[in-house]
Amino acid sequence: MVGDATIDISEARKQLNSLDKRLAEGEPIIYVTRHNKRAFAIVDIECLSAILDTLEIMSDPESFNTFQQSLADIREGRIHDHEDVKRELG
Amino acid sequence: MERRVSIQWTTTAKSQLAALPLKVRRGVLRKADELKSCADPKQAYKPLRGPLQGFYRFTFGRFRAVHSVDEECLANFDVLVHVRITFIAVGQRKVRDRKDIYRIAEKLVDTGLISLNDVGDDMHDASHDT
Repeated sequence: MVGDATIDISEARKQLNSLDKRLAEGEPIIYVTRHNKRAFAIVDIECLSAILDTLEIMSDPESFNTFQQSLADIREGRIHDHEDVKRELG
Repeated sequence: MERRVSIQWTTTAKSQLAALPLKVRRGVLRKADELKSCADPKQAYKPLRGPLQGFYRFTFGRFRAVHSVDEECLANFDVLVHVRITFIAVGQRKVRDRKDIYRIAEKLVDTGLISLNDVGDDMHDASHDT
């Protein structure tokens, strides 16, 4: 699970310039609260991208099956050296 | 102690690569080459999350390749880093409609990327607002 740092919206306004530093320092998601309830979140772009990439593979049955098939390739030794792949397909 | 990086492709990922146009193939292969000159592929590439924890990704334009990184200590104390490219995602994420936001949120919960408690508290609060 990703982090659960929270900040009030008025405080977030004041600290806007330093929030990117907090993201860079290991809090990939900062929840912003309004009236003590989470209203939205500020998310490190790399973190968001990683989550969306993960979801894209996990939520598409075809992609997920292909990924599983690839893991089976590793287990069963169906692997190819990068230099050979380059020669063949590059 | 020396670190060496060995890059391999699974048969499935190689087939995915073979299906791409030559220009894209070369671009992806060039990006994969960069993994070889990388001192620590775990630090240099962003990790995926949840059920895909342990995998990393690199991109070429709108194509994304997923790879695993495993380190093997050799008898002479050198480290051999095995990078295995396992998957190529073709195309870019589409702009989805509003309904898909909820579908994505469900997936986030299903995959453990966010906890039910996080969602549950907000849902509980929201139900009292109406």
